[in-house]
Amino acid sequence: MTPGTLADRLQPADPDAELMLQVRDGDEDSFRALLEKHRNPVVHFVDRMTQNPAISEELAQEVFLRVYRSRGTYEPTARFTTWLFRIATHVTLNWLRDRKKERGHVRLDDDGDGENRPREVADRTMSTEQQMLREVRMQEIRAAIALLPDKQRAAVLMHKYEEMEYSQIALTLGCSESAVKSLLFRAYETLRARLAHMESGHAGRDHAAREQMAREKIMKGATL
Amino acid sequence: MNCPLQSEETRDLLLDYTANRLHEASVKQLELHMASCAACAAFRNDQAAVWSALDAWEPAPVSSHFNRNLWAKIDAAASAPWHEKVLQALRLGSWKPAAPLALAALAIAAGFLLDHPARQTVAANISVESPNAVVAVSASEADQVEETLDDIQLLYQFESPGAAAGARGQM
Repeated sequence: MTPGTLADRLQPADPDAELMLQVRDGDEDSFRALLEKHRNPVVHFVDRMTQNPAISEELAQEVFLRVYRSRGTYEPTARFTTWLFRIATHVTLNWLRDRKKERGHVRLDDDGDGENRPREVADRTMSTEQQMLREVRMQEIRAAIALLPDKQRAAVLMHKYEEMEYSQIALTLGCSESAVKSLLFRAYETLRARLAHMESGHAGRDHAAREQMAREKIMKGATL
Repeated sequence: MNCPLQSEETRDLLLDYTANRLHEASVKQLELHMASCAACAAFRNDQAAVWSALDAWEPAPVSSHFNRNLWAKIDAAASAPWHEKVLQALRLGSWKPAAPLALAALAIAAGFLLDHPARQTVAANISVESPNAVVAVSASEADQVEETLDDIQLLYQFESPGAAAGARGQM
């Protein structure tokens, strides 16, 4: 089957898949273009999955290395991003599984001591207290995501940050669309239980009380 | 409109609503429903809070040497010895679709061998029933040995300098 006819099968046309077909034909510039376009989403996905900045770029490089190595056998049977994130998910889940074996159990939220997580750049428009509050919230969000089972976490990250459709997530995770909907529903259910107290555009319920709790948490941390 | 939370097949409508992925017509229907359904309204509020919390989670910036490191890895992979490339190919899993076929072929071959264990018996039968055949087999084996010895001798002649000089002198 010729590349042209394979590309025609994609509905609608996927320019990234076409670029990848050019990579298959030996065009390194097309690979560079794909790398520029997808580098950040892949690194961010891996980073949010592992919550380990020390390893996330290495894993993301492994993803692109695999893409490059597989160029000879590439067939655009799905959207390029689906294929790319399938590799990214595979690489990340393998790493998490290996780490689980090494440690005996996963503790993704154990970097609360700042072992691997660099401090976020301070926003000069924020007061110290606001910055500390923000940091407490970010820790809460990261911990809530980290405590999700691996597949649920991957589904949420692809749904929320990559804006993937259910069918795409299903192809990426190798399960049915209804299984993805179920995964997402359970994941968001857990996240609602942990994060719904945070202020949103729709509702800021008990906001003052929560702020007070966060302040107390900060003070408690400061006295330790 | 039926309450979307009542059915597993429709409850993702509320997730899609928060994610702004619903068609306008469905949005209007759902908003009309939520105005009178406390459970759906609460779900919407909580989900919106989660959504906005996740929005606040900004990823760490990608380092400036990401591409350079990646190309170094690509170059290293390209100049790797052949056995590492084979291992990499196995790790990539492009052979996986062929694995069931290979296993089936192995199973058939094993079954065939188990079903026909009589090669030695046949050879024995030949030796008993037709001694000429045995002689023929022995003769062909002797020929093979002789040819191999000739080949070795030829190789020695090529490798030996005296022989090579002699060969040049003859030319």
